[in-house]
Amino acid sequence: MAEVSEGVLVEEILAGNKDAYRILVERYKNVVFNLAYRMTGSPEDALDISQETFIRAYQSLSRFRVGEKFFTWLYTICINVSKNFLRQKSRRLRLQGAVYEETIGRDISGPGAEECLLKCEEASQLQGMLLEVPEHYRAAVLLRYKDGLSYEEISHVLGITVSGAKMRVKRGLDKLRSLKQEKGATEP
Amino acid sequence: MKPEDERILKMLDRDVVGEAEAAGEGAGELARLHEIVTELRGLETLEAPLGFTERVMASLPQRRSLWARFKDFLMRPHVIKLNLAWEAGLVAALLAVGIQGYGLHPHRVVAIAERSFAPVVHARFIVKAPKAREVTLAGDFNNWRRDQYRLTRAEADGVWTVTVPLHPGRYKYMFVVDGQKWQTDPLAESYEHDGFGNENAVVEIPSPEQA
Repeated sequence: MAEVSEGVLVEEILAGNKDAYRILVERYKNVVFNLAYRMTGSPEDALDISQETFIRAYQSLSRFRVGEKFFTWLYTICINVSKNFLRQKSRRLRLQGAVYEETIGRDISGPGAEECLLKCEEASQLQGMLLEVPEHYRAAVLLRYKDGLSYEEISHVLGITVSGAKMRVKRGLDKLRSLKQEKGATEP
Repeated sequence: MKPEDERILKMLDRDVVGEAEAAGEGAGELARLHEIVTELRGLETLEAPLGFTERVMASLPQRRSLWARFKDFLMRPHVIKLNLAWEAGLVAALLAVGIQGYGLHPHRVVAIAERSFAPVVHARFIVKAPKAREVTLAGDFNNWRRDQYRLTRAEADGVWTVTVPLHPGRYKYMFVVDGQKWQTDPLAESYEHDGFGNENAVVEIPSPEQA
């Protein structure tokens, strides 16, 4: 069955069909949850941020312009909610030193377990380093390489120029590279 | 954006690290960046938790007409607060021009400023409402806005909760059931008449040292 277009769904919702929103939530819940998780490093925080993102999107749906891509609009809201959340959270606790347990609840026994453990460890290290990258660079790097957005789309989501988007991606990568070198130098 | 950076990003996008290495053009840096890009692309995509969609759908507010919202605005009690803590310069300027003449006394301004620097306490509000479709919390801490704090329902027992960051102090509050019915907390610490025949619940938030 062909996917219902987002423009049609938005019109339906604005006309009072609240259930049509369920289709949009189902369609984008994983990408939004992942972006929030990669921005915060915490599944619990990601859950709250994702929920808030969808509620805010629903509340401001009348401002969504026909012809705009729904997912870039949703990403913009998610990034803003994440930034606000992190600002509030940074007053309460320091992110550095927090434990990131990505392997919890995953079955890592059986064939290939060692490889899986190694991959999990790498992913966990990378997630830890991502949290040390300044928010605006972190968001740009994730949108580019984790979510595969074009520089035009990133500039739209972050409200900056295409050149600015490229600069943020490059600086984010540079920061990750230097963090990786530091960690490599300190590891026994 | 330096041309060199632009060139590196293009090479990373085209996945031509091998060519660059062969040509010896900043191969070491490019290889390290390429490794990071590969790791980022390989980050696992997690599934949103079970029941996520239902949770979002249950939290969506009712769409209300402009007229209904305007009527709400007129009916709602409003508290006007002055918070000048982060504009110390402005406070000083106001004091300098003799603000007493306008009835705002200096000691009052200082009290408000101090309060905004007070520690935040996370207060949990709980109410049992098994038949409710939506419960929100409104109080003088948020100008009685009923769409700001939405309670989450525990699946089994019809208990709704929300955690709200508050400065230590004394607050009046009410629960709003299904967007319409203002309900006094039956388990409140104390109550206070609102002047319209109803009672507001009252909570005292102690400072973290007292808690």
